[in-house]
Parts: sequence; structure tokens; C-alpha cells
Amino acid sequence: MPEKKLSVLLVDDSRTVITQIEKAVTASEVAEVVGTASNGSEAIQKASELKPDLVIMDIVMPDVDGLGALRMLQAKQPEIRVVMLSSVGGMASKAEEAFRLGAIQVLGKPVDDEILGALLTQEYERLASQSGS
Amino acid sequence: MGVKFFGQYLIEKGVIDSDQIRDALTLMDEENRSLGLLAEAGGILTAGETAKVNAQQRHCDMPFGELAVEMGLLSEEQVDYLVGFQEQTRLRVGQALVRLGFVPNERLLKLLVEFENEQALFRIGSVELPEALQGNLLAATVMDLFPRLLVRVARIGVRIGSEQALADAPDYPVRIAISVTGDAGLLICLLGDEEFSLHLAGATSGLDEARLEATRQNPDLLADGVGEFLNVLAGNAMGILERKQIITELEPPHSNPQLDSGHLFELAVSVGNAALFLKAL
Repeated sequence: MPEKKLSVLLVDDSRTVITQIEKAVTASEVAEVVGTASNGSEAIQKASELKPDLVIMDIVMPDVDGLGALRMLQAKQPEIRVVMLSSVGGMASKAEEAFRLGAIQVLGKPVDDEILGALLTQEYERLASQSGS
Repeated sequence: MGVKFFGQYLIEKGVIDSDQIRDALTLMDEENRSLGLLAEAGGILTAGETAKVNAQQRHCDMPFGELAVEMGLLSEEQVDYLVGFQEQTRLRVGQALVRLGFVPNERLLKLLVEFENEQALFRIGSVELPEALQGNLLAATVMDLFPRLLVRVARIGVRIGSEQALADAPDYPVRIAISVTGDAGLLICLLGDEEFSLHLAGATSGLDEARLEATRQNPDLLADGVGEFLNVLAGNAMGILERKQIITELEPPHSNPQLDSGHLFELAVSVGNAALFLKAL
């Protein structure tokens, strides 16, 4: 197991969701939360500062929403993998737009900890294989 | 756990990856024709008329068919026919993945059955609504989904009681609302006493005892947790409606809305006390 955990930036305007996802990330043991943001523009700024491996970001947010931030993030830092998270994630139109913009997965709310854990492990293994090669 | 579309499910199961879903979406974009192009192909609209509707669409938030009827270019029957034809003939994500060779057809059919079984929780049943809300599919979906999600998310059992006069609205400390706008607009407000709201907020965020106590002291955190449940309720209802071609948008939750007109339902809940308010927008 590589020493470096998967670094994660969490973006959601709800403290409740941040708390829930942070708990699930910590429990996974392969990832750690390196920062949080409450809207799209803060996410862009934090991603530039922290250079996380993975961003987990809500779609519906005030100011710059998640899809707008995803578009900007992909233009500026395409190496960052992004998982979108939303209560409207089950709407095919929103999910399809997120995939077109470069998201690697769209998770609906409420988030299933097991599914999130599997995704983090998969991303961690991907990172480990890259650093080993 | 929530409403999802088939592509998300396939990624979750490790059947495909995000690059493959993007390829499938590109193929769908190439093959699936818009309502305007279908009308042109059927000789119902000219290219000039389609362009006129498209230009008008930039100034108003209306679907193509509805706008074309308003502009006198199509009849409602023609739009219904075109929408039905579009739905029947459109290339779906599963078919696109098979066509691209990413999933064998037999495996896809099995996965589709598993997916439908998992999503059975989100099939809409029949719900009795007050006369003013009858025909509001979002209200029906919310009323049907609400008890199931409350049990699933927070393990709170609930029975929706009869409609109450607004003047009798209980004076609970937490009143959070969320608005869904679009074809079936609705304001959904949850009113709860401290015990109900704290339990719901705690379950939504998976808080431990210490953080739950901190939430009790902080009304904003309490409101945030209840708001997140409404977010999940409304978002999942919107996902169900989208399958019926009803497009809506979600606004962030807000506290203490005016309950000046609408429908208030008493709730028999297993934790604390609560009520639900719905208003067509």
C-alpha cells in the first residue's frame, strides 16, 4: 500500500453533507479530506491551491454551481478527477451533462457509503498503479 | 440508494467506465433527433419554421413543442405524436453501449432487470391529494416518496394524516422549505419540533453524539440537516418526473417561508412531531 492516501476536496453548500461525506472518506482508510468549499468559485480556488487527486462536488449550489465549476476545473486542471454528487444526480439530463463535461461518476443523494467507499478504493488503486509505474 | 439512471448504475457496478459512457452519449447525440428535426423530416415544419422556434426559445424557457403550438406552427396532437415517436425511436444508453461493443446484449438485459428491481422503491403509487393539487404529478410523487425516504434515510416511521387548516399550523421551531420550479412547480415545507428535526438532521449527516449536541445548540446546523433531507426528497422526485418528460429545476432550501396559501398535512411520526406543507407554484 503506498504511503500517500488519495487527497479529496469536498464541495457542497450544506455542512450536513460535508460532515457525512467526510465521515465516509475517513472511514475508507484509503483517502483523506484535504479541504472543503461551499460553492463553485471557492472550489476552483481551493483546487488550484491544494491540487487534490479527487474532487467530490455538489451540482446545485449558489453562486457558481457544480456543473459550471466542473467545466472550469476541467479547463484549468484536467488531471483532477471529479465525482459529482447531487440530489438531482438521478436526473439523466444532469448526469449526462456531468459526464460530458468530464465527471468520472455522478452519485445521487442520499449517498450510499458502500458505493462511495468502493469508488474511493478504485481511485486509490488507480493512483497507486500510476505512482508505481 | 437514490433515483439514478442506467449509466450511473453500470459504472457503479464496474461494468463500464466514464470514458465509455461518454462515447455512448456522443453516439446518442449523433443519432437522436430533436423534435424540430423530426417535424421537418415528417414534412410538418419547414427548416425556416424550425429555426424560428429555436430562435424564440433563446428568449423564453419553454420546450420546443409547447412553443411551436403557441406560435401556431404545430397543433397539440402533432406535438404529442412527435414526442411519442421520439420516445419510441430514440437510442438509449444501454443500446448505445451494446452497439459500441462495451457490453454484450445478454449481460445488458440481466443488468437492466437488476437495475429495475433496485429502483422499484421509486415507483410512484397512487396517492390521494386535495382537489387543488390533483394533476400535480410532482405533489403526488413527493407525497408517495416522503414516507419511504423518511424511513430509509432516518428510520422515522410516518403516516400522512388529513389536511389541516393553515390557521392551525403548529408552532414548531424548525420550518424549512424547498422550491421546485418548471412544468410542475411545487413548494415543499417540512415543519418539525426539536426532537424530530434533530433526529432527521443527525441521520441525514451521520452525526455522532457530540456533534448532535452541537447541532442542538446551533439552529443553522439543524435547518441545514432538515434542508438536506428536503433536497434529497425533491431531487429524487424530480428524477422520477424526468422519466415522464417533465423537466423541473431545484432551488436551494430556505428557512421560515410564508405559509399563506397551500395545503398543510398533519404527520403521525415515530420521533417527535412534524407536519408537511405543499403549495403549487
